[in-house]
Amino acid sequence: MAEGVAAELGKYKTIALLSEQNDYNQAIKDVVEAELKNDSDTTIVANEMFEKGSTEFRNVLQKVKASGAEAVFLNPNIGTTTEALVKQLAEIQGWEVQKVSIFSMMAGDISQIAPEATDGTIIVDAPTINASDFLTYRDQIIAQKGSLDNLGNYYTASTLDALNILTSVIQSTKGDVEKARTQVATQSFTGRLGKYRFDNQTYVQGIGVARFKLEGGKAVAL
Amino acid sequence: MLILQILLNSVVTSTQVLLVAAGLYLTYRVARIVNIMLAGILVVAPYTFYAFVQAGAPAWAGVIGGLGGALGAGLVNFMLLREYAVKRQPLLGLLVGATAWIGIESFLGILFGSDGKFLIQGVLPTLHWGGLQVTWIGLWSLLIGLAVVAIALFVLYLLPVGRVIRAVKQHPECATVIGIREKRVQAVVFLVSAFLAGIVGLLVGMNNALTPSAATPLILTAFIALLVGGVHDFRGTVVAVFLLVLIPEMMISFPWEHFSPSNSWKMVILFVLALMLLAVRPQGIFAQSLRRS
Repeated sequence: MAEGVAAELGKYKTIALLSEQNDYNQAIKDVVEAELKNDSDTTIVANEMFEKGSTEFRNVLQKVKASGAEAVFLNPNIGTTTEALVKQLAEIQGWEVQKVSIFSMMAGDISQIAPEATDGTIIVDAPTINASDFLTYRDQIIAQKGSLDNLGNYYTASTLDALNILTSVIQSTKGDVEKARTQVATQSFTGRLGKYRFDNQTYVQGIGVARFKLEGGKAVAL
Repeated sequence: MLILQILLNSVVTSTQVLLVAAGLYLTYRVARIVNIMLAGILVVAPYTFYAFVQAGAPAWAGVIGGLGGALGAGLVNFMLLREYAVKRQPLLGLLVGATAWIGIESFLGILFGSDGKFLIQGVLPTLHWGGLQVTWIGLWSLLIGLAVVAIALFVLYLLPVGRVIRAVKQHPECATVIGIREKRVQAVVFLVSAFLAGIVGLLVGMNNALTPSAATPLILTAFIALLVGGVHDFRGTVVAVFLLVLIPEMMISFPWEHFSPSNSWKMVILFVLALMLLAVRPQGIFAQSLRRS
């Protein structure tokens, strides 16, 4: 996902990064920075971090605005932090900047808090799932539980896939932990999201990303 | 313009810290205890407001309920710490106050959840003037903070009641002998401090977001300002609060050409600055030189 964010930010000459200081968002920021290091056409003119769970952004937003960046990557974690960031973003007048962000900006009703400030934001997120068997299963979950909350289709599908794949691996290796670990690291598996392979890495390879644009307080797939 | 905007935002924060520091200063003056429990009282007020509004009460009732909650907590605060003030056990008082603060924080976390709450929904009404901007809540923080400082200085240094408070601080036994009711003075001061903490809690909760630990940065900065400014002179506390908030904010938020630390360095800069000030003026900013015999 971070590579997708970097590809999006790579379209601009000057960019600013504004990230929350936690493992998840910092990891995204680090990958974005590393990817853009090889891009001579894009310069990071501001790179700001704020404390985990912070809800006061007025000064840091002014600093980022003053950097004159063409695009700003808003990288907060889901929840109150994002809501406070959006509200304080909307207090600023006359800041024409392309905003790029991640799923936290379209979770719940965040995008409807201040559409005047967030409309036009490009969201780079996990792919959407359209497989009919998954959609049927999703509808069954919603009928039982009411909603998928912030998880959405992708994370629900990947969780189901992880459960199915691990179950099949444990069955085929008869519970041998070492064999199971080797199998997961080296083989490929089929799930609702498609092919899974780890190539001896700790995260799934080649899943790809989806891009959305906030319009009228709603996320529209691009 | 950027520097003025940062200054304006930082002065709003300073006045919020100042109101907490004023409470710490006043309670220290009459009880000789650093009343860290004010941090707990600070979050009681906005959560009471939140509970009122959630129950369908109008906002004005929430404000009254919040301040009432702060005063109630202030009374508990006084009853808890009074004994340690009488026995001259400031460290035990500090420990009990800190325990109560953490207890309140945990209790509110259990009751309301640790995720943030917004006391005002939607984008805050904001005043834009000549390229500068401030939320109406921020403006109220500024005005209330400055008014409280002016009133506190006036009361402490120009009114008889200020002399009473100073007398209790300087010599409680002698103050009792000349007819001053030490316990009553302490109770009033604890309640006034709780009321100030309640106001800050409501303003911070409305201007940002409310979490059970929202008071932590405020009480830490106020506590350090009390130490740096000197516990004997309120003017020192006032100056220390503004120095400790404005300097780190200006260092972090203004994009200096070769020096631009990130926001996460704020507390580090604050502590280094406090140490430097303490090294230069260990007795406080306005402390007078003592003659050595």
